[in-house]
Amino acid sequence: MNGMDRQLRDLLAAAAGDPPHRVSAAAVRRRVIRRRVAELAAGAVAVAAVAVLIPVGIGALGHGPGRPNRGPAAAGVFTSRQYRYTEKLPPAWRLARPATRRWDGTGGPGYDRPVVDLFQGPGSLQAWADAAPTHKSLAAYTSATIRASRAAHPCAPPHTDQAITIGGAPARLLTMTCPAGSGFLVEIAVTVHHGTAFVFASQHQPGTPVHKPADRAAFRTFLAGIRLHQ
Amino acid sequence: MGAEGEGFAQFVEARQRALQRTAWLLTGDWALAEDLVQTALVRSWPRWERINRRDDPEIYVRRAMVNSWASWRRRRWWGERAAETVPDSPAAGDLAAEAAVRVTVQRALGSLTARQRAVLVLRVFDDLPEAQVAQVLDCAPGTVKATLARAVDRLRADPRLAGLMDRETQ
Repeated sequence: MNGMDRQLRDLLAAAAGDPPHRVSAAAVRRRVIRRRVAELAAGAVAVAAVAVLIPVGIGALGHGPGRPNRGPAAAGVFTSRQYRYTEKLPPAWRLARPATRRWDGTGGPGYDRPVVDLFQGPGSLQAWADAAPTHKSLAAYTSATIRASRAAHPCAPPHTDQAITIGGAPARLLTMTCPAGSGFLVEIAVTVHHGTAFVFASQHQPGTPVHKPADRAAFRTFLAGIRLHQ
Repeated sequence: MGAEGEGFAQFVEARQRALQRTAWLLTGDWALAEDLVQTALVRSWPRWERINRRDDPEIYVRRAMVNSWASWRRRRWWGERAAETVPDSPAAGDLAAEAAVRVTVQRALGSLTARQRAVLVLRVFDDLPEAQVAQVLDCAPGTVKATLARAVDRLRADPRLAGLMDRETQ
């Protein structure tokens, strides 16, 4: 290691400092166990789905075309277990993963966090939803959401800020580029209903054409399916 | 917990701080660094016995860490990033100067490509021999050498970092 390398190493060491928390083997084990439980649950759901679909498929083969589809009436309706809303899923939308715990209202949870209900739309479009109690007005909560997104990701100021309604409640629909200049456009819809702020967001998978008009329309269709509970 | 489990716990106990510091230099964020180390250890734990028997656990875990980090970088930006937080118990010393070093180094590292950053951190900060860095990154030792040279050249050309290094030598 030469002098330059040593200087660099000292600088890297000084910058890294000390971690604020310890990583323990127990925490790692808990995470492995949680992952295995989730995998088992997913496997069980897949087996159950196959068990349901095979008889349905066999039944369909036994009947002529034109037989009405008598699937469960609520198959396209998702009621959030963590948050007080229901989504009537438009065609081509499905639930990808429900939230497994509630959002505490801090930060800007992304699609990959366990606090969001994640939905898969047409193509690579995804949407996610979370909610938290608030005393703020819609305008104040929207400003707070913009500030949080700009600080955390960091997003450029919103390109558009439209007044819309979600489930009949006044809402704002923001379009932002995050990080600024990256070309990744994110749409965030915010509403405050009976003391709860709801945040619905959509964004593309990397590498896909950025925010096609069809995708924006698909997200609006998704928003139109939302019903906020009393 | 079996003998392999005890070995795992000992490894985590002994190496978690070093792994987290490496992870911070890769991610620039303590929350992500902790998550990255945990992710690498979660991948390693189920096959710990085999790793211990066939490989060097340190190499295996670091490889898992670098691969996870590379895959995170390919993901969308919108994965939650924790904001910079004030430490619970501030250390003594010049906090402003420490923060300035941290930010400058972070920005300088951010100007490198992912591979350059990984090579620099593993080779210079962790002091791994070129052959081991090559093992971790699954490339030839010559590639490590060339990548490191490019990374160091780029950092040397960074005036803010040069200023800090000049200050260290004075």
